[in-house]
Amino acid sequence: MLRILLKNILICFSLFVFLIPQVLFADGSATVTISAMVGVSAPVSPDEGGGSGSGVGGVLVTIPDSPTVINFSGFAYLFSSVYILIDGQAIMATTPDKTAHFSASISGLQAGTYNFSIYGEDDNGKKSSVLSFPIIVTKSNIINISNIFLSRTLDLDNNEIKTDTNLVDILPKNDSLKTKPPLEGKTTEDQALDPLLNRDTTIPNNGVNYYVSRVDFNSDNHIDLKDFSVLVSWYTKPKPPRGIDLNDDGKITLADFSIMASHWTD
Amino acid sequence: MRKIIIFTIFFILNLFITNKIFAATLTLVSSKESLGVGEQFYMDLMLDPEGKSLNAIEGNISFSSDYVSFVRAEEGKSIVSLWVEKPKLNNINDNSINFSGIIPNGFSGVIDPFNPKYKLSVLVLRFVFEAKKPGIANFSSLPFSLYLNDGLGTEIKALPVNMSLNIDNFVFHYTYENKNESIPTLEAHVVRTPNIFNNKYTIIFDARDKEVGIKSVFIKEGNSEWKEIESPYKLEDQSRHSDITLQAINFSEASIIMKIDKVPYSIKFYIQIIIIILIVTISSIILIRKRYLKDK
Repeated sequence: MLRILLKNILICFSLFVFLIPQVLFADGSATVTISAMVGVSAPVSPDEGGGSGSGVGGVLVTIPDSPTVINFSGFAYLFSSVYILIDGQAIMATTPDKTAHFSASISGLQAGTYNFSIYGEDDNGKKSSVLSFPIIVTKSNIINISNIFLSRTLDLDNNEIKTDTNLVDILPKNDSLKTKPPLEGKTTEDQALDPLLNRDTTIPNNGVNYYVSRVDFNSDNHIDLKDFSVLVSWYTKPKPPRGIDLNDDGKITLADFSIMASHWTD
Repeated sequence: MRKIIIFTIFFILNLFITNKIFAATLTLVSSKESLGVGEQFYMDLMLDPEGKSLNAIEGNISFSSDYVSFVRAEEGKSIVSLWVEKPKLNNINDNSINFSGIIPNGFSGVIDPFNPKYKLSVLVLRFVFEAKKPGIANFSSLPFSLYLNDGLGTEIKALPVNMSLNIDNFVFHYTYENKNESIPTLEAHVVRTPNIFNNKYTIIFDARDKEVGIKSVFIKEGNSEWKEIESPYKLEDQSRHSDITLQAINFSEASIIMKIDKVPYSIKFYIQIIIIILIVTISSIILIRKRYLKDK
């Protein structure tokens, strides 16, 4: 009888010991890891090769290729971050210096055709228009993409503005441009470099603005693979939810994907 | 005079409409001009946006299935980076390949760094075929649907493509292989949102290969068998207590494996188990003690 009792207690203790670490270390979130790359044919080193030797002496000198580099430079709003995407995937972020100038370099790309995109995002999360540069990248070349201008996106109280209106005058009172103006205390030379005052600022039409907020289905401030997957799951299916059907034509077609693609931020 | 005026109006209208609709050019470019039976070759579908910024394309390519067989479509070097419908044979007709995809943020022609003034055509897809018997193999399409990168989903059309290839009366067994070595990349997330599969756990992924393209993606949930899937995919184990393994394989048979850990059981679950164990233990002790005292 005592033996059964001890056995029961031992089982309970074992279960308890097994469970405790899992409870303690459970963080409730999934982790993603890339653990292996398989199936690639193994390179054969010269001394493993089965070829017959010629018997001729000599040293093979390998001159390393110079790296392929793509340089981006231009102007962005002072308090913004600049994001660079390759084929729709964000790969780099940088910030402009005090003269609103930014630069970034990407290296290590294989030769091929790449669609580079670049956009700015201010400290309130407002994004600029996205600029695209589809480029043929060849081996061992340096490509410079310069004079990029990323305009700041402005929130306006007015639905309509006259063409001769000074944009700064009609900004909401809490806009960062008014609350912490970048030109305050700056010299005339600094002012001359301010991109907002010296370059055109594009005001998107209402239709486009309307779609921007709708495309971000999961409201994470990014239009990316997750939003794309929502559309794919409803593609050609009947009666999609109203919020998903971007052009309100009652079905998910490539036109909806096109609207999403034009606002893509990764 | 009246007829001339009407004709002129129709002519001008037609010119205007035609210009508006057919505003980009697609072409088929073959790797071979003449072929032998058993020889594999490829056809590149090239797109010249003619200055328009485009961000989506939808189309189909038909071929004479009596003379050629479809081997695969390589999308590795395509300007299209996300496929809504990956290029594959039509379920109904085995002589037609459908595809649709998007180009995030659009493109208006590829910039050649050595000659930046002129923009170049770009590859949409590379179709690999094999010649089956002597004769003339025809390749054609319907008008392509293209979408402007204007944020409004504006559709324009591109003229269909046509091409013929002569298959000579000799046998030449040749397998086309893209010899560039590359390893696929894989991005994946497990999501749960009311907008996808009615709030069920779903895996979404983006598998890419810059050279040859992705052949297939497989999933293994826990101890289940490997299964070929497309994104988004509703998980079979909705409890999320199984490890998930994803494998993306390219056309060179190189692959990448990604593991997504299972979600551990909640603390509440473990506390419930502990309480049950304690109750059973205490009950056993009391029962045994009673019997022991009775025996005594």
